[in-house]
Amino acid sequence: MGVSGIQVSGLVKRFGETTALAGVTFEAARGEVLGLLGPNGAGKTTTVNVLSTLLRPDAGSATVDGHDVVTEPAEVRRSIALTGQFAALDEALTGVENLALFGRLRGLSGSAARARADELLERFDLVEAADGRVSSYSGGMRRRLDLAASLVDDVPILFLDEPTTGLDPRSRATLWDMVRDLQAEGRTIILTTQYLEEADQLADRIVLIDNGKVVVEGTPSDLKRSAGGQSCVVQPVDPGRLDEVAKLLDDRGPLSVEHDLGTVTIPDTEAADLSAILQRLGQAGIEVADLSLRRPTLDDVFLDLTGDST
Amino acid sequence: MTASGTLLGDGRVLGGRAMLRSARNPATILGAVLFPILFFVLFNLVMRRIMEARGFDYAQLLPPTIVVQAMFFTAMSSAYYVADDRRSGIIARFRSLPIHRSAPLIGRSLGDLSRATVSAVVITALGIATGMRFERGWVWALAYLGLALLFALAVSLGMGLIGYAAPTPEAAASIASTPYLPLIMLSSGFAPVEDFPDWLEPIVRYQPVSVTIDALRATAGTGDLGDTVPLALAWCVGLIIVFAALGSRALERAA
Repeated sequence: MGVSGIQVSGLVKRFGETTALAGVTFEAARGEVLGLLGPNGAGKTTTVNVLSTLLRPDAGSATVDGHDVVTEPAEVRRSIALTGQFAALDEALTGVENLALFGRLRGLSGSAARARADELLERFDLVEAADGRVSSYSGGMRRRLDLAASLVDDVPILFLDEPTTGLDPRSRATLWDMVRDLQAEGRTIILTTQYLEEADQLADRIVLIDNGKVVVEGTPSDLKRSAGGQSCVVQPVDPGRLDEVAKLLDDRGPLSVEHDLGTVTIPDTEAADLSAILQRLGQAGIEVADLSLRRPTLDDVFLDLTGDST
Repeated sequence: MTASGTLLGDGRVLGGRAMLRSARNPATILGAVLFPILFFVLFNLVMRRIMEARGFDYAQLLPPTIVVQAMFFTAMSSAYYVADDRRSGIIARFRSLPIHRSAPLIGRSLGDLSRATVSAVVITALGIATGMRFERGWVWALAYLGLALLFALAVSLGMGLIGYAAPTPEAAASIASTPYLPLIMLSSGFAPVEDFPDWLEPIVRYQPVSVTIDALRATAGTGDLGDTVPLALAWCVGLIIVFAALGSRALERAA
């Protein structure tokens, strides 16, 4: 993995009595999209703020694109762009003025910044809104402009802190496509989100954080596998026969009977097993209203491991 | 290639942003130009004859007071803008950029000074139209403008600190409007220092607003330069150093 990408080791950050990060360790390889997942207040944004040099850690270390965040903050800032939780733009300026401003601050000349702004407006489908003030933009347009503002310089590492929070499904899908394009260009992306679906869609690997600690990490499919395999849910027409169903199938493993739902869940079931199950129920004269295979979702992992309802 | 941009280069870019933002906010123009004009006209109507009957040259005395008051008005926006930048998160974004770490402070100050310049020039022009004269010539007239701007910088850096401490931009704006009233009323601006109660007189005489107003009057010809200008410079430069240092520190911590 070398020195590029991101290495985080034992990060600790306290705010007064509160410990926001209690020893966070993970790595992101170059070109990888790493999803930082966790409930509100888990420490995702604090982690991003330390990695983007906004906060100094109390202990531990981190390197970003080969530079130490504490001892070489200026070099780190050259390699990164931060898209915060709230679209951080100047409301009084137009779209093109915002992009030109950030271009100038990244060292482009006036005309180069302007040219780059036009390019980005084109790419992020904001040409028509270019000369309108940001205060008149919709949520989706702001996020797109925010993302565009992170790309005025060709930085290798992007931090996207909850980039789709509060967006409608269509704007979210658009933004997801844009993030995929950014990854295709070879950028390393740290994406924080509380949306499991978002992490599932975009992230190569997921680091699940809760209470300032890494609870688990792995690819989305690793994590889902850790929550158990596919299960089969059987719903008899007559809920009164649930216990009978459970007795008939109890050789298939530890079943769970959900009386309130009128269902029995059979663990570790493959599609090939379904006809045998149906046949057995048919022979016993039990009519089946619904029979389905259920894959574990990241929600199952999330709820299993974070322990509180989110 | 250097890792960080230059203080002046980045400061100028951010100054341009601050000026654009001010120019597009009608409330700023109101504070910087219309309110001071209103005060100037009203004080002339209410106080001019009373003061002239007591032997004061009101045409010379009033404009420096209104200029100092206007410097307060222009600086108050600074508290709001800082708090607004914190709320929007743009301060954090600036800090994540490879720019000089004090550039946002310089940019904001340039924006504030541009408003202050417009304001001071408008009020002074109005003063000249109603009989004020720069009796020591144009070099001292420039010194007058320079001192007014130095005072404006000190106040706007102080107001910026309120912007870092306040929970919301609205709170920042209302906190920022508080210190101005006692400072300007308990000064040599509207009434002679001798008219204040004895115990209050020394405070009134040596507080920064009085000292600055007296020095502005002296550069225009009323009063002794040596008694007033060094003291005013000391106050303004001292406040600028303290407030700028605290402001840089607050900026470092704003996330």
